[in-house]
Amino acid sequence: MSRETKRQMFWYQVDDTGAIARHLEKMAGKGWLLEKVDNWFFTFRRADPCRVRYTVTFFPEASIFDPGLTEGQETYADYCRAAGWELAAAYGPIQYFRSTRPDPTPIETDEAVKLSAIRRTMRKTAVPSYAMLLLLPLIYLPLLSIQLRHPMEFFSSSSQLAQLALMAGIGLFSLGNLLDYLSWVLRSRRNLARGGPCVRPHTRFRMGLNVMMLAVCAVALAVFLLDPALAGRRPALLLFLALYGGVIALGRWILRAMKKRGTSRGNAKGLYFAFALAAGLVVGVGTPVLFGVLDGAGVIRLGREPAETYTKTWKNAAWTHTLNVFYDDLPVTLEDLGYAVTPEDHCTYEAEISRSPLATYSAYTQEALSSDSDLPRLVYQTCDARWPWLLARCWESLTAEENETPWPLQRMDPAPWGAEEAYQEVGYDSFCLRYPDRIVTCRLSGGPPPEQIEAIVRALTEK
Amino acid sequence: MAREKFQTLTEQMFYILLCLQRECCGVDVMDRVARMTGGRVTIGPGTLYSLLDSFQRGGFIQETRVEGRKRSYQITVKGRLRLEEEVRRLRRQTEDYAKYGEEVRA
Repeated sequence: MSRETKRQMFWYQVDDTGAIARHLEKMAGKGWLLEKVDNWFFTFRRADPCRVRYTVTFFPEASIFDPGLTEGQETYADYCRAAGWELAAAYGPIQYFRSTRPDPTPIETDEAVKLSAIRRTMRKTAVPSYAMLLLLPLIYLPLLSIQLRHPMEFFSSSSQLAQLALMAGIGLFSLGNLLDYLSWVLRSRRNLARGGPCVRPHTRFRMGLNVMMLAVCAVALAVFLLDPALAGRRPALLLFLALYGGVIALGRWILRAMKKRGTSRGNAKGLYFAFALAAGLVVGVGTPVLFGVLDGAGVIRLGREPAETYTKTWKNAAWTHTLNVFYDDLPVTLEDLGYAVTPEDHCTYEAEISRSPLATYSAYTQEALSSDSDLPRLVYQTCDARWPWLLARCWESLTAEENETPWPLQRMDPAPWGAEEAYQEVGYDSFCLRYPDRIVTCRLSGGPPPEQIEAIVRALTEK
Repeated sequence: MAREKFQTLTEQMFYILLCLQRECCGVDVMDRVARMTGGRVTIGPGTLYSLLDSFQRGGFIQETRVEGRKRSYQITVKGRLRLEEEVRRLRRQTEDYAKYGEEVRA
């Protein structure tokens, strides 16, 4: 049995009335008449294929929070009915009329009045929405400036790059739509002054913005879900997305339920915004806090699963602490450097590799967890970038950043390290080394003698 | 603002005010204007609604009767003055045309 109703994504910007009407007329020709519409979907009802005319009009005084058509809208619909137009659907201030007459009197016969209605509606609906959306990338900018202080981590993190792409996409989408709308208003006003009608909006440009936004969202979501660096947080991320989706669905349900119950516009608006605020707080703040608490209590694990754990007891102390032990592969270990490592040292070998299409950043640590161990702590990082200029940017940032610490970097002879440039943190056995296609930072308490330097260089400059 | 808005009446505004010299409901305005002008001027229902609303808010017309959803309107003194002013403006225009247009033709 064929379906009696059909849903379609609402791809249009609401003021693109001509394009919406043409789409609805095409659907009627295929046997689908518009039945319902909201800001996400068109719902069509099956009918005999027919030739009908659609017109999208604006009633600025109406709101999506109204329980039904306002008195004014009813009167408006009566006038339209007298002129041969039937109200097919309405969502807030946007009304969809259709006519089966071959040449009905247009609903709008004064383009200035039409432009005024569109502008008043857009000022209440789309313009504030795009402006709010534009706030997101603006709020993100300070975070980006902090992230860019650590370019090695930033450019090698797929999820941080995806976040940047998402924010850039949102900025482009909202700004593009706002500017296009403003340009449409200006062009229409100019045309009206010359005695012409409102001009046609740039439908393809706006569709393009929609497709771009959807594509960016899909890619960002895929990156967030597939980034190995976030593997440990994947269940939490999925739960967060499910909650977010649930909140949107619940919001839509609440709006529908309030309409059915005939809740007044003021009450509906108040309740809806209270729900949005509460849901925002619960999902945005409550969920991360809950995950943190559950992780702390050992109910869920946000980080990587350790190979084993080691319970450390401090000397002369009555308290213990459970530490994670990993046995990751490291390019160079304390053993390679000639140290005698025993099981009693309870060494952890940790490798964290972050990879993106632009750069790879690897951080390695070998550390004895036992308080009785005399082994030094070995910490080193390598960074590879796709382009030399990006590597140079990372190096500049690394050396500049470290210079701002209480232990400034001091240029040193790079020859023993076989590097192009080398810096040492004053008073510490910490080195920053630049090779033609790699940056290496290394810290080994006690300071490495030449044979250890040779072993480190051999291991860390090999690709 | 309303005064500024209606300083010059469009043809549709003019005929709505002209039509409302006699009490008339919204729906009938469309038919009456079409009849008055022999179908030369048609007013779309959306435009009619917006203009009636603006005229009412501007004090140019007033609601005289409400029967269910059917609302009737009539022009006010302010509206009549505005209409007469518009007629004078149009008359001046035709007089100017008669005067200067003949000069050009001659």
